[in-house]
Amino acid sequence: MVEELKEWEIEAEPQVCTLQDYQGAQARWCPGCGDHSVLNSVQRLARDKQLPPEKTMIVSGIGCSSRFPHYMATYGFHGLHGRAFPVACGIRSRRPDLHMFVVTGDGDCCAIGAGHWIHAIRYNMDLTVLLLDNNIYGLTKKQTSPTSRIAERSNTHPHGSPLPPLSPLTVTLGIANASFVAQTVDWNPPHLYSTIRAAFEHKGTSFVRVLQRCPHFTSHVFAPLKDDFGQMLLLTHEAGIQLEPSVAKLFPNFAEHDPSHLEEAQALARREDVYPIGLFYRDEHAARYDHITQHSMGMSQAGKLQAVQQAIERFAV
Amino acid sequence: MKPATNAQIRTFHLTGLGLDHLAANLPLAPMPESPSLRELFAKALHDQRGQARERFFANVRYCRDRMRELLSLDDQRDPEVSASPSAIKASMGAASSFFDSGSLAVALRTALSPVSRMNPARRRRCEATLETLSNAVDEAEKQPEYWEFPAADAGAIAFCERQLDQHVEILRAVRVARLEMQSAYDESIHDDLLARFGWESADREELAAMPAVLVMDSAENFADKSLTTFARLLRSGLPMQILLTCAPFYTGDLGFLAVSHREAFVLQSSTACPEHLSAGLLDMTHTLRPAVAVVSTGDTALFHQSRTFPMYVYNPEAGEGWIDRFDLYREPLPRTEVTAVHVAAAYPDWQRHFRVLPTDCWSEEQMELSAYLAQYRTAPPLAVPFVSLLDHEGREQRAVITRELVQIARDRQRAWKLLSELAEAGKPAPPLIDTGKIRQEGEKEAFLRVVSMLTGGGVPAPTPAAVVSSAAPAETNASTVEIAADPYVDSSLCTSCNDCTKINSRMFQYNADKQAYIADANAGTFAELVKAAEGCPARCIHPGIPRPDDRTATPQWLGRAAKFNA
Repeated sequence: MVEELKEWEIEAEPQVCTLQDYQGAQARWCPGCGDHSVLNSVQRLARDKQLPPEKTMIVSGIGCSSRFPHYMATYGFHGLHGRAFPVACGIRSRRPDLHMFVVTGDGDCCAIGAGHWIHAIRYNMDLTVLLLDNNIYGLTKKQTSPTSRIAERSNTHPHGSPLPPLSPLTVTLGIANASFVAQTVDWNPPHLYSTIRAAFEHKGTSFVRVLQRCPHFTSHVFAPLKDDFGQMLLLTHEAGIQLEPSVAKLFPNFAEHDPSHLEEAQALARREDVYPIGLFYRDEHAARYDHITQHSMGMSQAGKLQAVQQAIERFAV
Repeated sequence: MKPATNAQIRTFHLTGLGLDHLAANLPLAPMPESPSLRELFAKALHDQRGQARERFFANVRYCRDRMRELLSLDDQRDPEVSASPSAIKASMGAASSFFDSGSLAVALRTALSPVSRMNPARRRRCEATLETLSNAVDEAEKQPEYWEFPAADAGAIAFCERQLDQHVEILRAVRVARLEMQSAYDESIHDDLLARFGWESADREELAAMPAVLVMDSAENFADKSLTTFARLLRSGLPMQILLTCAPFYTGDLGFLAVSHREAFVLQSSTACPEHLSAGLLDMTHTLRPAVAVVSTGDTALFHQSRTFPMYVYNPEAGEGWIDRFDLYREPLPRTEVTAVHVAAAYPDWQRHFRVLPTDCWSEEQMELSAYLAQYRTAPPLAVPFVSLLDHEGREQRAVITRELVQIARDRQRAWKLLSELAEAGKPAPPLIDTGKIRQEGEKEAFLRVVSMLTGGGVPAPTPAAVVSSAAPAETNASTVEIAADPYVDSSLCTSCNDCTKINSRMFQYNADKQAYIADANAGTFAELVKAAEGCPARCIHPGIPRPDDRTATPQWLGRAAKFNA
């Protein structure tokens, strides 16, 4: 009798979520795609933190990476192209109780959504932003993206991209009030997981650029990095991303970088000889716009009307 | 402590046995500044259950508010209610003067459909739940922290059962409310389950939220009246607290009787030892079983120090075995010569049991009490027992004691012996140190050092083990790095890309972190392992050495596998 009763109570209110509780639809990305790895890391994080699925929100725009919300068994918003940030900021403005992730791509964030990107970083609302950067428009079959390297051939530029690529890191680090900027890679899950975890734990907009392999269109871009960890520079610091020694030793090059130094972070972001991996910059004290937008939460209908009435009465003649 | 007055101790002084410090404890008046037993109990109860109660009623208030919201939401779906001119006017607040609420009501009534309202059964259930919860919140403010019941008769059991029934109604309502909030109430399942729900199924925190039922009585009174009720109470399993006070020089065994009921909590303690008492009361108020405390009031520490009144805790929640459950308080106790007789000497009521012998009546037939009791096995020794006392002038006197008092002293001594044996029963013996082995090793090491010094070997080797192995390291450095024979996946590096599981889903599977591992190396061929390793973006698959019977283990595949095994 007692057991029976407990059973249906548990059914009504799940106590412990397993990985399966966060797994939504079967992921339709190509086999070997780096997005699988990011999806798995986010699901693991959700399980480890026991985020209630009904209190977790994934917002995305358009693109391969933006299919992310479908594969999570949480709430999600698959928005318009480039509009992941305004939707996420709108939700966060009135919902401090949700755990929010924004998943966007190099096209969605850095091209059509660039305006929103800049202001969302400046607003510094509590969002975990994952920019899955594969240097190409994959969903629409290989067009040049803002982060495509110079001379990269694509359907829009058959003779190669004529312009130097935009670096999401130098841009983000140049925006006033940026509070968390990191870079990681999809092919090293321990580092990926630790970075997303640190980003999630940061209060404010945490911007993580994930270098992501597209096995179909840009397999040559990141494959050399995957096979030669010497092309990456692991940023280490006690306030940075923490790795197990067994994983850290895979990286032959590492440098100590204090994430509170903005100028050093910007210099690292500008380096072209090597891909720095880790936490570039963190500022726990940056101003948060959601603190202002959430100001009057919990006010009753009558209270609001009364406040409006009072405001109007101040102009009475 | 007040000093002893001559009138109270008459001609007696406890002495001759190193008991001078005990004399300072006389007379045995209650400690005026210490908190009363009832205050101590109330404090322990508050410490143990106060927070649980607050949390529980916060939850009840939360459920009540949600039920209220649910019903008002349902009301709003009723066009008659929500679209009435007055409701529209109220919802507009200050802006209502800008609208014609009458016309708006007519317009809205046609727009709202009554389809989505609750069904009547659910509505009734929600209303009943709301009423129960509201009453519970109102009642909670009036309730005391505990109900005190003056006598431990059948009425107390009935009272406790009635309180539990009322409490269970609240618990049921909370469960209904929780289910209704999620629209998860299924009449076919939950009606039946709730009907069978009793207080035994409740969580301990929920039960702790109910005010405790306290029975307070004196031990003598209680033992005289009805031991049957006492037994029923202890076997009932009801969360009742029984506080029995006993007068000075209580020599009953009511506490031990309660222990024999096995599943009740029992505390025997004294106000003269506040640490033991308050720790015991904390345990007692924590438990939700029947709990009994036999507390001696108004005496000094002498009472339990003489082992007349053993103090102990029997807590069935502390473990399964006797050794975990029973804790006899044994420190600090003075030498064993202090008996119940010495305690009795301090109480005016008992002084008629003593007679001082004139010195000329002393004889060989008289025996010191401790020696007398030591010789008293099955039959009393042929002697007259006495205790040594000093009179006012400091001369030693002998006081003979009555047979009744001797029997009490013997009974208490035997009771203590039994209890202390029980407290020892089952305790592990202290570990024995193998001194022979240590000595042997020491001798060996000393011998080696001497040999080393005599042969001019420089720094003596610390242990024989190091001498033996000193030649080994050079060989191990020369050997090559070993290849793991069995295939494996470095799972923490897996990117969950489905590549390997597509090649062979029986060989490669995902673990709880959704990272691949080799579930069954025999479920596929060596060639498949190498293909998976080549395709793996994280390069975390290591094919190892092929099985001897594997037909795909050709030089070509072995060559391709080599770089993934490095």
